[in-house]
Formats: sequence, C-alpha cells, structure tokens
Amino acid sequence: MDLAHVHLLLNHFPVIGSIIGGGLFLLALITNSDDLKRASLLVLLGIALISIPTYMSGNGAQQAIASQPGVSKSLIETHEGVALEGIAFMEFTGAFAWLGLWQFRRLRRIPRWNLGVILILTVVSLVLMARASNIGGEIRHSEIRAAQETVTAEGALARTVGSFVTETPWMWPTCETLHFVGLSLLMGVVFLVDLRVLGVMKGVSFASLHRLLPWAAFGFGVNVVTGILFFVGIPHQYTGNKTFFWKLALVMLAGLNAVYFTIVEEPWELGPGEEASLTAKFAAASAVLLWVGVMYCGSMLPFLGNSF
Amino acid sequence: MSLVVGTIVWVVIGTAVLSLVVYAVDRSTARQERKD
Repeated sequence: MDLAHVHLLLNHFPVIGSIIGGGLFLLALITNSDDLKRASLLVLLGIALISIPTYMSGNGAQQAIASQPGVSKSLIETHEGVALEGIAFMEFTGAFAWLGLWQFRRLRRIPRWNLGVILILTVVSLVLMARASNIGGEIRHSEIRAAQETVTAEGALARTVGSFVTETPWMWPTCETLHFVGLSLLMGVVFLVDLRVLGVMKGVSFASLHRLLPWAAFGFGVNVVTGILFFVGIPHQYTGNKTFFWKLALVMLAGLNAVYFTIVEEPWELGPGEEASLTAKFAAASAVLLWVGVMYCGSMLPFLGNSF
Repeated sequence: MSLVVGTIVWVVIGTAVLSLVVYAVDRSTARQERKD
C-alpha cells in the first residue's frame, strides 16, 4: 500500500464527515440537545484529525499520477491549492470543536459565541472541502470534467506558501522554534495530567489539571500549523519517508486519547487523594507512550528516513 | 528582515498573541464557573 492508496482511502472523509458532523450540529442547535452537540463536535474533531493525513497523502498520489497521460498538472495544482484552504479551515473547526467539548466539561454548556464560530467554520470548511473533492475527482474522471478545465487562482496557493516558507530566511527557523514551543507546552501539560492519573501528585484533583488542557491544545494547534507549513514547503521530503507517516498515525491515536481526558466522566471525578480507575490509568499510560512515539518519530526523520 | 531579527520578532509575537488568546479563554471560563 502506498500514499496513493492512503489518499484514495481517506479523501471522502473530510466531505462526508463534515456533512454528518455539520448536520448533527445543526440538528443539535435546533433541538437544543447537549448530547447531540457533543456528538457532533466529536465528529468534527475526528474529521479535522483525519484531514491531516488526507491532505499530506495527496502529494504522494500526485507523484504517482502526475506523469501519466491525460492527467492535467494544472488541475492537480488547483486541487492542492483548494485543499490547502480547506484543511486550514477544517483545523480551525476542529480546534473550536475541541474547545466546545472542554467548555462543556467545565460549564455544563457551550457558550453561544463558540457555537456560532463552529457553525460558520463548519459551513466554510464543507464548501472548500467539497470544491477540493470535486476538482480532485476531475483529475481522473473525464466524465465529470467540464469542457473548460477548472483552473482558479488558488492553483498557485500551495506553491506560493511553500516558496514563502523555504525562501524567506526567517520563516523556517521561526516555524521550527514555534514547533518546539508547541511541543513543550503540549508535553508539559499532557505529562502532568497523565502522571496525576497514574498516581503521582495525588493531592491534586483532576479538575484542577483539566483547566490546563487548553494550553496543551494550543501547543498542539501550533504544531499542526507549523507542521503543515513544513510539509507545504518541501512535501517530497516527507512523502518519501515512512517514519513521517508513523508519526502521523501516532498523532491520530494520541488525539483520540486526548478526547478521553477532555470529556469522559471517569477521570473528571478524580478528587484530591483519590486513586484513578484502571481504565483511566491505561489511558494515561498509553498517552505517555503515544506522545513519546510522536516525538521519537519526529526527531528520527533524518535517521530512519531521508528527510533533511 | 534578517534571519536573527525576523526569527526573534515572529516567535515573540506569535507566542505572545496566541498565549493571550488562551489566557483570555481560561479567565473567561473560570469567571463563568464562579458565576454558575
């Protein structure tokens, strides 16, 4: 299985997932159902996570078909540019969806301003992802291709951003520094929470540490943005490296793991001096392993693969 | 903008602006919690 297979496997998720997540969210707003709101936010968060490998595997698919007859290079670039816009909005949708879940845990409701932001971001993400998907389909399906090839100004977007990242002297080192700032915030908070659940600092309640989670999410968000910028700058450096895709797979699993600590009742009820359940301890131990795995794969990119 | 100046300026601005946003979210949520 290569990246073209991965892209084919994943590329319907952002559109169909946004329709399902957005539809559930709209229904939740109409019926004012808190359970439905949380379920829809979980779907949107999951789709935001899946969109990352979907976008990145697209470059592998591009390399596999770009030289084949009947495949338009400008159509591929247009697809890539619109997909970059789509993933940018999708990640912000995921970030605000996570924030909504965190706010619900603390306040037993999601503030109205955030519900409005999520609704707008979901609609924009869906429109952009649907456009990217349609243009992506046109690359290989001549039966849906219009007589006039779909080429828009966004075609140059990914290359323009990529050139800015690689050719501006301060851009790559700035992203690199911010990537480490994000990593430190994320790991610092994640390890504090996990160690408490595993039995260290028993005097601290889980709810106190739960308040720190937005700092971890902020670190994760910074790393997603800077990571995408690195990728857009030099995509082939990553698409040819299996370690990078292990890193992405571990990020997906660690993201799911983080949902447990954000919304589930069990760890939330952990008061000062109390022992966590076996399930919570398993989640905490697996979080440590997953995030260490992410760090290991990230730092081993030049050694286990051909990056840098 | 040179490498060193650009890196320092944008790392400081990026970190400060985003931290302020998270701080504001934390404070407003804590205020709401106390109110409830």
